[in-house]
Amino acid sequence: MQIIINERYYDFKKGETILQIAKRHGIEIPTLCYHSMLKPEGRCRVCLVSANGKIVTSCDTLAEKGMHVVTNSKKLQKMRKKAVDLIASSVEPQTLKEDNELTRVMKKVGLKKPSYRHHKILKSDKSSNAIWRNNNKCIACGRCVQFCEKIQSVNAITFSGRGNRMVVEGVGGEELASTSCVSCGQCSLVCPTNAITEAKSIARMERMLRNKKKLKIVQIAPSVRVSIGESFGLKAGEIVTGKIVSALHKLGFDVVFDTNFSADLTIMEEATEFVERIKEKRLPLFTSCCPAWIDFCCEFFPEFVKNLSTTKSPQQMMGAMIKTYYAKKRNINAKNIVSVSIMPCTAKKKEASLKEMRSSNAGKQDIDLVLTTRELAELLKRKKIDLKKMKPMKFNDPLGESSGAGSIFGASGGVMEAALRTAYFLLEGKELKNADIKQLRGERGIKEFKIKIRGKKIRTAVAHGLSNARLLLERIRSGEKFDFVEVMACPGGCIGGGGQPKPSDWSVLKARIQAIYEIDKRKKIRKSHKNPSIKKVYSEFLKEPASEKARKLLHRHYPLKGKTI
Amino acid sequence: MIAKKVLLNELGKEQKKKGFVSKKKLKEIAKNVCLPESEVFSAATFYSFLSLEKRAKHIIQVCNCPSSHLHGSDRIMKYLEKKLKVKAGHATKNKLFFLSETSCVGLCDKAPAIIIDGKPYVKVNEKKIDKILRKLK
Repeated sequence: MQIIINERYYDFKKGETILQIAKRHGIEIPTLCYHSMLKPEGRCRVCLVSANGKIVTSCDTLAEKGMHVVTNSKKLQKMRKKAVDLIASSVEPQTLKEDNELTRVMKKVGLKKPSYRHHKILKSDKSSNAIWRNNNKCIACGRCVQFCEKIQSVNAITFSGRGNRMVVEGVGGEELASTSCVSCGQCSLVCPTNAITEAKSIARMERMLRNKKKLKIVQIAPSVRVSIGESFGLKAGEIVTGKIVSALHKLGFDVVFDTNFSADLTIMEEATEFVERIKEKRLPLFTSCCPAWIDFCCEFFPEFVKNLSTTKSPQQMMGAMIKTYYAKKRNINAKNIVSVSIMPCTAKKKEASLKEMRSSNAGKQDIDLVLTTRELAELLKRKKIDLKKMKPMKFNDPLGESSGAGSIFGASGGVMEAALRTAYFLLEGKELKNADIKQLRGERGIKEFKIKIRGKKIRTAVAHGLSNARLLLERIRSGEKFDFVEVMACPGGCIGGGGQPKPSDWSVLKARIQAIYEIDKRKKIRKSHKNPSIKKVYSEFLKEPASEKARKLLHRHYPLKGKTI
Repeated sequence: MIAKKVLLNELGKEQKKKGFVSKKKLKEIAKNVCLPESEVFSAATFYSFLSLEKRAKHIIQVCNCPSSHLHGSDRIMKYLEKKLKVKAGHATKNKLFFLSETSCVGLCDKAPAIIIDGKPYVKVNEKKIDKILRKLK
């Protein structure tokens, strides 16, 4: 079938919208509320085109055979400009001074200043430790609501009211902290005007960096190194590990550690726990690296809380190790350490502030401050540090060495793959021949994989995106049997986390996933139990996986009902 | 789709019975009609005939559709605000009257229209309002 766009013929398949066809062939139509991962709703009226002489929104109009589409007549330009004008008039003037999707669309349609002013004055919501909302910047595009409902199935925010009084609110008009919000932050990732952001800690970070008396230690999550380049104009999936390390040193950090190391540590503990659980027949075991998933499980499926692994997330393990093992090694009081982590995630901010995460006995949290990838990029730009021009440096010892298994934590299926590499060794007594488990990779919502260990079939499943997790849990509830289940709250895993650079869609996520597996491929050591630094930590400090000390520092408890805070 | 049809019915019943739909009831209804609480809340705030808290004894709603506008619903609203000493969207101090706007009530041919406690009054003017309000007190 063919369609005529701007006097030229283009092929299309049934069910495609006009916008999809135009995008595929590089014809530009400005869009604002449209997001490729969501169902188009045609709210903003910016993507107007004329189809057979009728003005329609191209995002939700299906193409028809022989349809005559014009994308850029004078009349359309005028209408688009007016649509953007009305939207721009409805937000706080401050919003238009920032660089966001709205201002970029304004430039595209040639609008300098809004002609009207009718913005709302509402209270902003800073109740949550992870996510802040400012309704005065909101243009009611509905992306966040749809993401929360359709992709995460959390339903924490929704529209209330009607017409020009319609606002996005927590369910029941409540503040975000008292709704079912699990802090995954996907809403902040898709917001075109930064009305929803992470709970900002840049100001606190700058204050901490000025403090010369304290030892400043920072750790970088596996998925930050493949995404932060995007904020500096590099293409998605560019690996900039060494450059971030030197940029962080330049910012004023004394020591830079790798969260991949503590990911290896997580695998040691988790695989050991899995082996124990097989013996005790307390299955399935759910992974516990994702704090948003933990909140989701506690809130919506409290009967499965007993199945959650008790191991802490890599961030918290590193936090505990820095303020105990490393402090002892350097002969320094843990109170004089400032421990910061760079995460792709908003929920990690909340996790770090939990009362439980104080196992180092320094009287303070194990992790003092969490910055998202976006925040780090902003901070670097503020200090005029160009990531592209940095000379690559290596991580500091002893918590900087990692295996390939630790680095794939960033992608969905990675934790499972890494855990199976070690669990196979623990159960079978010999190494897994081929370390790549391709069945656990890819973008399918739920991935299943069976592996034979000691003549017994181990059934594993991986889900990403909380609506997929909900489906999987419903299946388990209705009697389906699994032994080991990994869940990541965000689509694609941590590389698609709520704190990652914008814009984010599947093409970007795929490039990041590819980069993650590339890092794994390049590593000589690809299994956590082979990492010499891990061996050293166990021989010097922790003794063995799941020892008394490891239990105290590296494991946690869960509330039986409701969220963690 | 069935759930959504039932939803409005359920919300309407509760509104009629108690004069408002409490947050607790919202949760209950959501469970009964198998919809997420967010959707039920969204629907309840969309309609001006539903409310989430007790408003007042008498509820006065002024139609704000274009037809009523052309016939001076603005003037009527201002008159009511002055007379009852409240702003639109609020209740009087003695909790006797609640004044608000409503979207089109389908009486465009007899504009301006107001609705008091669910009963429509058409072609209203200041005199007519005085008369109606006197009866209500």
